[in-house]
Amino acid sequence: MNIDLIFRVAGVGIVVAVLYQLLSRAGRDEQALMVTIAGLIAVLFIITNEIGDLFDTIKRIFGL
Amino acid sequence: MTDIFKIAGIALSGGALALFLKDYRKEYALLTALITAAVLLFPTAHMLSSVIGGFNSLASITGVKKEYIEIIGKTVGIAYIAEFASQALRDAEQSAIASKVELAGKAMILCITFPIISDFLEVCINAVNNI
Repeated sequence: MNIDLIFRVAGVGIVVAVLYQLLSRAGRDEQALMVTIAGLIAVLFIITNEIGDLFDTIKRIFGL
Repeated sequence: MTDIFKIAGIALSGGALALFLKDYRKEYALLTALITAAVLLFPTAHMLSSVIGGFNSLASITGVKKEYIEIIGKTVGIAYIAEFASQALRDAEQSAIASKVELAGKAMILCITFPIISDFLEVCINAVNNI
């Protein structure tokens, strides 16, 4: 049970939220959007690996 | 089974993090909830694997056909994944897509269990004819 994945995803979310506020306050909205998208892609990488492992485990166990 | 406390702890912390992220970035709240659900599903899947193994050994003892036990396992697996996806989508306020996933899951389970139904009906018909 690798719990650090949860905190890694939440950490990226918090960092992106703070950066978005920072950049949008400084008037650079497009950079803020870029940061959000970049963070989203990073998190999606982590999640797809984890969900892929989970689905493989379930496929092996239930013989799907 | 002492790691139920661990599971509860992880679930609560994941839920709190997801809730915290909800008012800043909605999509990260969904992703945190999704990863928490995935991390929680691993131990339960391993627990179920021993049960499925027990079922197989029971099948060989009681003489139940092997395919029926496999079909049971498949049905549980499909229900497991369909419920995982539809609940995650419902958290993201996408109940339309969630209901489609559930519909697909039900259809798949129906397709898989159809042979059992036809076998059962054959047995009934034979029983009635022999009277």
